[in-house]
Amino acid sequence: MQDTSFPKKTILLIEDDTFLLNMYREKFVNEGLHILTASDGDEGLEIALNQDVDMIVLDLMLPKLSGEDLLIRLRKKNKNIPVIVLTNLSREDQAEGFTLLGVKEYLVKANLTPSQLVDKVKGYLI
Amino acid sequence: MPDLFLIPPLRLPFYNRLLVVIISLITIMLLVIVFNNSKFRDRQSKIYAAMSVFMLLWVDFAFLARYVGSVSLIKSELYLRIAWVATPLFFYSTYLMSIFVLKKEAIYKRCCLVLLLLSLIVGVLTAFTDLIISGVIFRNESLDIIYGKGFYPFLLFIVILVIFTLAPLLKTKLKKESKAFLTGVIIFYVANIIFNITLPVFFNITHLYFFGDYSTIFLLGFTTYAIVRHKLFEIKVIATELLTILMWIFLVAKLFMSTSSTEFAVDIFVLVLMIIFGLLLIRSVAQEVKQREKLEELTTKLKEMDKQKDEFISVAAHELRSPLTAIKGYISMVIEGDGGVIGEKARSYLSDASSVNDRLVRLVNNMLNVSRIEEGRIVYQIEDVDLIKAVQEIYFSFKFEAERKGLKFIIDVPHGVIDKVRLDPDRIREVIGNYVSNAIKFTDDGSVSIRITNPNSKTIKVEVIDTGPGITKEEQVKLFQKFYRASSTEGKTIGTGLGLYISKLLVETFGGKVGLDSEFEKGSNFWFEIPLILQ
Repeated sequence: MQDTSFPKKTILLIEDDTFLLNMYREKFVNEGLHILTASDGDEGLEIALNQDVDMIVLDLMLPKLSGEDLLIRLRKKNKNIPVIVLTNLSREDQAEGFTLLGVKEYLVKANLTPSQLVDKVKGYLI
Repeated sequence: MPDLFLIPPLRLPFYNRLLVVIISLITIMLLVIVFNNSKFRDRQSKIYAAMSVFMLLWVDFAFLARYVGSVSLIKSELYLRIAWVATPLFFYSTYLMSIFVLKKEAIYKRCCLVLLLLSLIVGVLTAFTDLIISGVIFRNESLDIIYGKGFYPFLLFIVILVIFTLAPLLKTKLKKESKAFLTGVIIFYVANIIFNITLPVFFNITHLYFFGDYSTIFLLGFTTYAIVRHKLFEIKVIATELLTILMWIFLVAKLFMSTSSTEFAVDIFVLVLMIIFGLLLIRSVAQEVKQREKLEELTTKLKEMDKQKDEFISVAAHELRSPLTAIKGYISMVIEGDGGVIGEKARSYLSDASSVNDRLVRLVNNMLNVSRIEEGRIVYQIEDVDLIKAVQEIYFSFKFEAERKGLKFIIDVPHGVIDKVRLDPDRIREVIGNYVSNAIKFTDDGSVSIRITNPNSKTIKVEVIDTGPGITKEEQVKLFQKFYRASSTEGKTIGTGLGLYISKLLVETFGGKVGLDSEFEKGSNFWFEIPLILQ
């Protein structure tokens, strides 16, 4: 299943649930993407600010720094990395606010298989 | 006969006499209201009580001094001294009240003490020396005061108290109750400056003094408002109390005007009746107010609990979703071959596990969705959708589940059906999924078929037909209601009773309607219709 069409693309996955983090990492790697991971908001922001990242897949309920706050700080530092919000919170009613913060899509984890997620991410990387 | 019981001729004008009685009564009444409100437990109402007492002493003794003036100058002077002792103390208590209304007692603590000491000294000097008042004379039907050498310092001290009262009030940005207090203070001061100082001292007009004295009532009235205002409900009780007491005053006054003993007896009878009924009225209003307060409290509590419930469901659903996500994800990865090649049989087992897991995901989604749809908090991603494609997707996602149950699972789309609609594709998939999932769940043998038709050129209809137990006419009516579960399903399976209700809400949001054709033991046909995009 090696896909070589995205050789230099780096995805930052910020997710505090170890099971989900491992699962998504495995799938992304299998699909040929380079992946960085962070399991809390602070760590995630640190990586996003200091490393070359093409896209962030961001959970909202995170320890230390919530996904929303991370987004706000990221945008303040003038980092325009595209972000997909991947959460189990149903807060599509705040979609407008997220769009303003440059969120490409708001996805509910439970409604999505890992390969569907990879497809979405790839869709934005092209 | 000692001159204590000597009734002087009624020289003072009638309205003056009437006013002093009414003002005294109102003062006592306001005092009762404040007492009912606080039982004088807090400092503010204690100061209020002091204000009322000093005001009564001032107003009533100033009146009495003039009242007895024509009969006994000694007594007149005594009464006047009492009134004048009360005056600086009244101004001082007004000052204290202003500090307390603004809640600045801590800042002005030392100032309060100094002014209190001065007020007491001025009071003692007024009472026991001729420094401020040296005597009275009765002349031209009115009482003239002979001022002592200390009169101007006395006035100056009053002015100082006035400045100290006004300064913090004018300096601070006022709340509503403080504004009311300030209004009272200003009315009182202005009337005082005109009628008690300017006119008598500089123009020698003394007979209008009472306008100044009696303006205290405005001060007390506004102060009452200021300190009981935060209990808004009480105002109804206060209004009732006021009206009732006014009626009593009127009836008591009428007693003195009765011309015969029969009339007097009737008046007494009416007065007693009015007192009894008045008290009952006040009590019932107070009770009603208390009940309303309780109701208000309960409503707030209920709203709070409703919010907690929503929060709980949201958190619980979120917590449920995480493991469901992992299960769904790993199963899909195994099926897709991420973990290596697996056998066909294993793949079909996992597909089943996945379908069942998806059912749980839907259940959680429904729980989360229902209140958000009802409250309009949901945001729809409306787009042009090929409905047939959406139905086919659902069909394939349920195929394994239906086949494992041994059901014939058919999708029936006649050639040429028009299916372009405008709606949120995820939400309509939820509706179709709900219908199909129900049909498979409740049908033990036979078939489940999905049929798509155009009943007319403007509408598309999706039907999910099963050969399950069917639903009685009585139950059909209730089936699309919130939390309703058909009795035929009892004990058979778990469900939230939300699926059909949400389906109905969603379809109606997209301008369509839902329905059900069924007969008991003859299967069911759940359907919905959506308007087509007209080309």
